[in-house]
Amino acid sequence: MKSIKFTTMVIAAMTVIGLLMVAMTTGVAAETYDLVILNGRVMDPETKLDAMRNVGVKDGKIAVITKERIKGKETINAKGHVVAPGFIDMHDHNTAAPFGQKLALRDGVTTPMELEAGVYPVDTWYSYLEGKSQTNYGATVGTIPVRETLLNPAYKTKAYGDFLYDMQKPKHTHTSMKWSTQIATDKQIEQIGTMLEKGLKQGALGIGHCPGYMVSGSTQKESNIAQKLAGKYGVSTFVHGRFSSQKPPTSGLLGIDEMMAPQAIYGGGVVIQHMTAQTLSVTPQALKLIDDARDKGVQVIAEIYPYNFGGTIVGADYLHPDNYGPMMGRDYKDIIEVSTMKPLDKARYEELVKTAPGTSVLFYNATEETVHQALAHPNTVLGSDSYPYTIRKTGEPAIAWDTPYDGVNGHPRGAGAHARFLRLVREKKVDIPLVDGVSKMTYLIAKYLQDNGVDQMAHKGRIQVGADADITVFDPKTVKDNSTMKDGGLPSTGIPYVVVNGTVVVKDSKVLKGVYPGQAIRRVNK
Amino acid sequence: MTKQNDPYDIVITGGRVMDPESGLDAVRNVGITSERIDIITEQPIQGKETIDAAGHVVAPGFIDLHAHGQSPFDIKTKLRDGVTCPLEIEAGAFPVEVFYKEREGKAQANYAVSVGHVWARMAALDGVDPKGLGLYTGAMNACVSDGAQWHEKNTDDPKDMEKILANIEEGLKQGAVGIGVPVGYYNKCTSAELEAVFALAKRYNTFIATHVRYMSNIQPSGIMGILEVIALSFTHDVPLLIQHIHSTSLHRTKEALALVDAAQKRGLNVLAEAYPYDYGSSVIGADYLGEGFQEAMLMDYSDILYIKTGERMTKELLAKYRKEDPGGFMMMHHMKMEDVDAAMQHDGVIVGSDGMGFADVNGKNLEWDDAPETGVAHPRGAGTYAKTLRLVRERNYMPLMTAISKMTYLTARWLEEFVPAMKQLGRLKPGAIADITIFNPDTVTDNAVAEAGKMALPSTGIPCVIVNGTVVVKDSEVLKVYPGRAIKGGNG
Repeated sequence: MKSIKFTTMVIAAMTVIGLLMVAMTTGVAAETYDLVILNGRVMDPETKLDAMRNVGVKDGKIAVITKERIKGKETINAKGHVVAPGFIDMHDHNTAAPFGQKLALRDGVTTPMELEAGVYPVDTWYSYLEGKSQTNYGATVGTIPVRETLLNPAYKTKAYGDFLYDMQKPKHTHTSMKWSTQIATDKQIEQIGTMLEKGLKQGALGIGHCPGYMVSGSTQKESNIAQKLAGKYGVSTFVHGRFSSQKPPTSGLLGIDEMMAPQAIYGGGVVIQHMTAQTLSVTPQALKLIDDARDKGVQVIAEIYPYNFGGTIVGADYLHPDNYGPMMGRDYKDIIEVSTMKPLDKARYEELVKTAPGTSVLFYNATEETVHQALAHPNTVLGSDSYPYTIRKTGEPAIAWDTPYDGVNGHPRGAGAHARFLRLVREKKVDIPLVDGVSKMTYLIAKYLQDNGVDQMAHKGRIQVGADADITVFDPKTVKDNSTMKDGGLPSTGIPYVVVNGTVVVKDSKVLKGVYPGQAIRRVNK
Repeated sequence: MTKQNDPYDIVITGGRVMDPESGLDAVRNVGITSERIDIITEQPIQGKETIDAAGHVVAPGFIDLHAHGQSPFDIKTKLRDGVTCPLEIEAGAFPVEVFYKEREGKAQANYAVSVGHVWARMAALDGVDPKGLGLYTGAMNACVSDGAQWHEKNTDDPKDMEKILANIEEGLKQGAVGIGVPVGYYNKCTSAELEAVFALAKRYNTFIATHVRYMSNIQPSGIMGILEVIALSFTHDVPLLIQHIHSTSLHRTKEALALVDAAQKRGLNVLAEAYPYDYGSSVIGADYLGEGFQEAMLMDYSDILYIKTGERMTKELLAKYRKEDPGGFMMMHHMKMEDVDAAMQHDGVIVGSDGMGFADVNGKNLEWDDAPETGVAHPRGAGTYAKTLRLVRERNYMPLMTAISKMTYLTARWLEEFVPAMKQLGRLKPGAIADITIFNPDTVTDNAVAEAGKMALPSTGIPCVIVNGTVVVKDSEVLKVYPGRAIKGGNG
């Protein structure tokens, strides 16, 4: 008994001493974090930190970044992995779809946002996602849904203001192409302005504007309403430029000039989204234009997706044979119908445009070389343009969380854009340092948005103490996209852990069901 | 004031002297010594020559940055309209030295030219020498045989771009006062090429004057053309002159003016110009008369008149002349007076005529002493300035001083940054160059109208015009004197 007592005492004493020693050596280790990510290569693009560190997370924030040992209630061993800020995507049309969020998470994206097409009404969209989002989420107020709401009274949203999803079910929602083709009267332009402003007042992150889908319908006067509001509220417009063409006069360059000049005049920023899809072979000239404008203080940035083909609706203006042929150097067969994965011919194109202009298609645009060069350019950022997927068997939009990854058709960018970019950097097809690649998916975007009215972004896109714990852990040696044109929904691999606001959402490369740490990214009007 | 007792070379007595710079608007006597204004005084003064200006306005000589017509006949007609500085800035010339040499010692008015991007392209891409004012040397038609590369070709080949830029540089070094970029006539020029031209303008600290891409109410619209050059102007910090803003913006002119205002407010150095007519004139091969012009410009074939024959166009005739005589001149009714007025009356918009050269009905160039009735071209080449003054009187268009400012001081002040000589022009003050226009505000009128025999009728009510201290128009007659001087840019 004695000996047992003695042993117990000794053990107890040794334990106390041990605890004291740990406390004395580190000071911080006494604290138990909610989550620790150990032994990873921590990369912070803002400070250029790129070193082995342990990261401690508490209350949704990064609480410590240290070489010392730390403990947490939950531990991720990140050995051999990069610990990066969660990826931010300004161009995700699947932001509000559970299946889309799941794919984004597998691709390392913690903050997908619908900034190009935008939504309307804005508060409906935000309310819908509250408490049931696996990722952070945000949206602009978009001229597309605003126009359709105004110009087509029959339109009723069944997707909480998410017009692109409404377009997938025209019979239920009565969407038309009025948003694209109808020229607004002066009075309607005023009303559009009022609706856009309402959206901004409800916290929209800026204004999504796609003259590229309303080449004849949208006047500069209407654009100017949006651009002036962007200036007034100190936010950005997010633009799909008017022309997709490598030939003058209606080249993608002119579309950039058209959108950039008013922002230079009225203030506010402009993101030229998926620029290579508009500027094609004149992309180098477009990049020069953007560099020069940025040097003069114009808030302009180009976004690129890492593919040489796009995904859109068959009724898109730029796919019209007058443009797609002579101005983009392509043919009907370069357009692929997503539900069947078959290339179009003239007859099928004409039939679809007439009967179902909202049909999802893929279409070839810029060359790979152009895309890779653009991605390497210092003033570009990555955006996926993740587009609604279609369930292969039924032709219905893929929304449900448990939709099988291998059962959908759609542009692979929605599943693989970010991992693909990391792979391209590894393979030196996009020849830039890894930290710069990470920056294009995180810090550069956060900084741009922060400079353009989205204050919350000051805490994102960084691995720094006090930053939001949006963290993506990937293996730089193996990370890759798996989605293809034929199998567009296969998730990326080599990204075993994704943390959103301190909560692990992807664990061992699986998205955890029923975990909803996503928070709204929403402007607060001052 | 020591000269008070000396006789001046010329004195103008009893006139209502109007100086837009100082706002002076009072009866004064003006004394001129040599080429300069020496004194402006209420006191009686004496001169070797005396002009009695009682009942008349004594204003700075009018400055026109948009005078294509530069023949002796054209200049004579401009002088009758009160213009002492008819300058060719929009289309410009190439080679620039040819233009200046041709006029040395033979100019009745002051003269200056920009280097024309269009001619620089032609020389580079077609190998055709524009020989100065390419609009009148047959250069455009000479390019037809090789497919008009200046019009068809873009500069994907960097060597082409180098040649074009080198030509422009040469023009600037030869004294061109700016770069004329009428890209609306060669739409296949890329935005990237335009950007390179803007970058060059910045290197030479000069400005760009432009006829923008597109002349259309619908997309792609004239407003888009303006946004393109505003983007480049902003990016490269290059001052911009948007010529005849109403003629390309059409029914969207008010939008265009609002954009210009907003750009100025933001610090962009941009100036807009207008002429007081609701119909235009140019070459019949112009891009904007291509397919779809009816919808874009809200006019029909019959609104286009082929000047040589006086024919109104049909579909067939337009196709024929565009093919056979793309450099032939036409007139077209493409604007609404409401939009013209909006531009003309807008604060800060300057007046420029866009006057095309007069020829006879057979297209033959006119001689100095040919009868005005023989001149055929858009009447704006003869009447823009007097018409503006008439509108002030008849329609209370704007205050008289504002109109004078738009025709003189505003233009000079904008140009003087690049063209030092302009500091002494467009003002009535001691020390300024004695370019002076004397008109009767109660009678001054244009007489040129778009009717046979009346297109070049000179304005009346402008009895006296002085250029560099020499009376050139006396009792409404143009004298055979040549006091005009070359005005050159800062790089010449």
